[in-house]
Amino acid sequence: MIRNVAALTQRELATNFLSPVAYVVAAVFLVATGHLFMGSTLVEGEEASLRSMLDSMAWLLVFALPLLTMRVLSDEFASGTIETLMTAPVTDVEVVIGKFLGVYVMYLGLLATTLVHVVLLSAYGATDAGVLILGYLGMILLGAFYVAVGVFASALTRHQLVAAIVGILILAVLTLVVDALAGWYSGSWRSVLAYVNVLHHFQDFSKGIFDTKSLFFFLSGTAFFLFLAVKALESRRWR
Amino acid sequence: MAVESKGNDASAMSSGRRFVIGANVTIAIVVAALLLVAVNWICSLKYVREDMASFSHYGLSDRTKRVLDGYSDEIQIAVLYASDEEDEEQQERVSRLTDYCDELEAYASGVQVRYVTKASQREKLVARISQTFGGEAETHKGVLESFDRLRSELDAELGQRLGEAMGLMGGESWLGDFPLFANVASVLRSDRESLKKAAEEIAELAPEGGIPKYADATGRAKTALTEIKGHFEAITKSMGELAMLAEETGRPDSPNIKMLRQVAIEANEAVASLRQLTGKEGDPMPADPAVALGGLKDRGPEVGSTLEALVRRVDDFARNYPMVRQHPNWRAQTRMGGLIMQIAVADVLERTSQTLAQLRLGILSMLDSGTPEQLQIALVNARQEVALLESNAAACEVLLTDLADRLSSVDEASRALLEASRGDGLLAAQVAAIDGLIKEIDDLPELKLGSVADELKEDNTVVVEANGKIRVIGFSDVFPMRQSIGGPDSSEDVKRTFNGDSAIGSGILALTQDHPFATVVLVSFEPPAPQQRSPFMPPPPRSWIPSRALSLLRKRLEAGNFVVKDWNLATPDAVQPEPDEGAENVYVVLPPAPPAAPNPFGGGPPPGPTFGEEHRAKVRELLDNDARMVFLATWEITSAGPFGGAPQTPMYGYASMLSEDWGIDVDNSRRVVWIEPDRRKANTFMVAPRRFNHMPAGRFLDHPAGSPLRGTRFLINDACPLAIRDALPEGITAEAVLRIPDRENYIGARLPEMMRIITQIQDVRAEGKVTLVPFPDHGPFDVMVTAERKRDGKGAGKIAVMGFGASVRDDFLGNPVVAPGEVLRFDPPPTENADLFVNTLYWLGGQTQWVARGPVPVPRVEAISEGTESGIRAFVYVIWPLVVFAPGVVLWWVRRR
Repeated sequence: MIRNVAALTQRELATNFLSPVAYVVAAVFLVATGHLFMGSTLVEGEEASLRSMLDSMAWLLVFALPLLTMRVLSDEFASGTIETLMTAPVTDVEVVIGKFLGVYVMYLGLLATTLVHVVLLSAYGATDAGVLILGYLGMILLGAFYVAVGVFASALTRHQLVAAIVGILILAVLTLVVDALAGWYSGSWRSVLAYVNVLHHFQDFSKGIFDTKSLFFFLSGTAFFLFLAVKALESRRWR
Repeated sequence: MAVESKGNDASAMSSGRRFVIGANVTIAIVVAALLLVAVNWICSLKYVREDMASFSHYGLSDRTKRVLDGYSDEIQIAVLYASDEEDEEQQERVSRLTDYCDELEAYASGVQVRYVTKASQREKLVARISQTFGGEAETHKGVLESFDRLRSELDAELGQRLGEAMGLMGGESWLGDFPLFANVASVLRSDRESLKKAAEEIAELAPEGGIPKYADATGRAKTALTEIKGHFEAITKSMGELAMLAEETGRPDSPNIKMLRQVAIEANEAVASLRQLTGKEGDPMPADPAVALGGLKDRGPEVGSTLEALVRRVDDFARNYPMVRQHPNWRAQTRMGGLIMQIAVADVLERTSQTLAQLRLGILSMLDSGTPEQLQIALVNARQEVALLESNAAACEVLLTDLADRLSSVDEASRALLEASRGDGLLAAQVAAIDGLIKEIDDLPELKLGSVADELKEDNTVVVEANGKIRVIGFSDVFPMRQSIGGPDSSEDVKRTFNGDSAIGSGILALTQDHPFATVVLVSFEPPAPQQRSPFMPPPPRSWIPSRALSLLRKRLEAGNFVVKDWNLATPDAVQPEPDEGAENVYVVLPPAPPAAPNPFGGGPPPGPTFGEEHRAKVRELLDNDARMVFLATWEITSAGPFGGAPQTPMYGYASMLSEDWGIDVDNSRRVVWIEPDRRKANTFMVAPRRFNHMPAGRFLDHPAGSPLRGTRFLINDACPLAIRDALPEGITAEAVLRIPDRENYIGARLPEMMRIITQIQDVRAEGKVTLVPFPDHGPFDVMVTAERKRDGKGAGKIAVMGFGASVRDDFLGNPVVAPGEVLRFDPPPTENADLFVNTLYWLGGQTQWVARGPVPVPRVEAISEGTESGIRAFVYVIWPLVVFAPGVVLWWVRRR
């Protein structure tokens, strides 16, 4: 299984990195994060922490990551290569995990490029290593969740744009919508909405707080959406 | 869970099989979802949450955790703020506060946080708080409802009475003759208006759906009712007197009406008899004018007596029925010399009598020595005078007759109204009702909510409810100001720091304690003012920090679960206050009042008690018995006395005791002043008035009381240097809490230097520049120290000495601070001094676990030069993205080839 997954991941990565689109996306991503960094983080007198930048990035990725994941499966459906893939000796689970890892590794690469901001911030303020490490751990977990949602959305349709919109909608509901609703409700409803809010869990990490609740939220959420993606892929066999 | 799929052609499947597979998948998804929920549910029950930040900026302090650990009941927190999407700083602060409240909720299951952003939510909260904490609010509300009912009744009553009054004023009624009755109508009208206005104001103060200010509302109701009651009583009295008058004059056989008519006739007849003696003006001159004049002289006293008797009869009537004086016919228009005057009819007769007496005196002197020509002229004058008297008497006759006619004809409408005014009075029932309601207002219980209702109107506040009590924590407490990072003269916006853990934690701490932390005894020496003081004597001396000037500190301490009591050593029979149940005394020793000035007009001792060894002995005795004390010392200056002379700095009353017993020297002859040295001119410096009054002093050393305040703005005033002696008395250990740094910006100025500095500050031409030779010493100065005494290895007394004691006075804690910058604006008052004071009390009481940690000093981004920032900007926006993008370009180019 691992060999199959590795092969699929490699294929996906090659598709991504051998296309200049990935580099354009990376450059745009860096300009955006750079803007966040200069606007809210590297500001004289502000707290020497990347929290503000990471929080904003988490918000931006709601829209950005579905754009990266939109083609992973829907493109296969649209081009018909899915038939070839399905006849190959790989299971649906391996396909989904391979596709997921392909995009996820690319995301991690993008994330790694922001480490330059850590270096810059450290030069002008005593940054807290614990907060930085947990902040990036949060970004890693958040990215996995977002990519899983994107892969699931991509497994639902042959149209890339529809996949992106569905992915964005799902993530928006799990972040912005529940956040807004939490402001309207109080008591138990607010607690439930706050718990479902992905950004709420991420903010624990960005604050430097390690909470096993948030860790399991991301891990279980990622697994759940990957499971849904597998089921969506399987459904093509009998629909 | 897998779905077996044997064929690739789904369309070939039967619909039944597809249904089975679909159901299988659906079940799998539902099970997976349930599994997801279960995993998260279990994780939320048993979890590990650890703040990994080295400065624990976002986590709870140990103190707050201890407070929450020690209280298992429910704690409700409501965060009230205005949702302002435009204000980024506001959003950030709300977000920061939300983070903190999340931590509270995550740590203690009993904590419930709600966020109140909408007016309707706020109203609900207030209603619930009023219900829960303001049981007495219902009583206040009931009184306001009674006021509203009474107002309606009064309005109806006033409306009816006003209608009656207006009807009477329109026609030829008996009452309509009295201008006073018009006034009554006017008062009734204004009272109706006044009641309406009061009701509107009360509705604003205690709105149906808003935040009620019951104390103000009931106060307003009382004011309105008291005013109206006064008017009603005056109206009742006047109408009662009018009723009496009407009863008397309306009788057919009224002796007073008869009297008035008789007076009118008799006065006229009396004056007419004089005319017969003198003849008319224009009559031929008799051969011997002396005969006519003599007759006038003889007849004059008789006529005068008659007139005076008539005056007495009229006056008696007016005395018995004073309302008659209000009748328009009571006053006559008469000529006195060349003047036309309005005077009472009785006065006209009296003046007529007086004129007659004067005329008679003139005639007497003329008859003795007058020549025939002079006698002729005197007779001509006498005729003129008599004509004038006749005219006045005639006028009186008309007036009195008219008055009698008017007074005797009481119409039915007037009679009915006056009938109602008899007995208890016209508005007696209403006055009684008003009295009853005023008494109810006076008897109202004190509102437990106190100022909470007002505070709830403010945005950015946090309301904490626990243990059946409530506390409102203000924005400035949660986000206090910190020193501007842009330097003292920076004009940039105010920077605030998050201090929610201390503020909210302190609130919870105070609410959840069943006993006070300590009984704080304010030990003062303030001689009472002598009951009789010569105007040449100066006023009695007063302490630089009188206990009555500590009301804000007192309030802060009471809010922090301390009990505050007073003990004035200058009062011989004042007993040392006992501690409250479950608490110990902590003494706050205020600087004693300096000795009174001697009497400038004589020898003998100055009036009143003087602080001395016997008073110090009381304090020393307490310390010997292991008491805990805070000594408030300060730089002082006293006036020069009644006849001038140089001002003085009295020696601090406890200086010798602190030095000898505790090894702490208090030098209150010097004041620590912040200066800006002039680099171009030796011994010259600038003094900014802003820093003269509010000197920044933020170097807190590692002491439990002071260190939590690092990172906050800390401003002091009138600070005097303290010093810990090298050789301390046996068993004593001392340490500094707050130190003025060793910088040339801080000098210790003595009185002559202070006088010069003050003069220069006030002199516009000096532009704040001061030159002093020799130059005063600069820092370091300790301005707060603590000391502990151990006996046989055990603690035996603890003291803290604050050299800036004046910085906890009301005039310092309660007044805003001029903010740095070119535009005049104000920062909130420096309440951080009160925080330090409370921390000191915790330390003295051995309860350092309750000392708030204060704002966490978060590492911040340092200053970046403009050039460097541009370089970083170029790197972040252009160079680094290009570096990442470049491989893509190369790849594209290679693959294209």
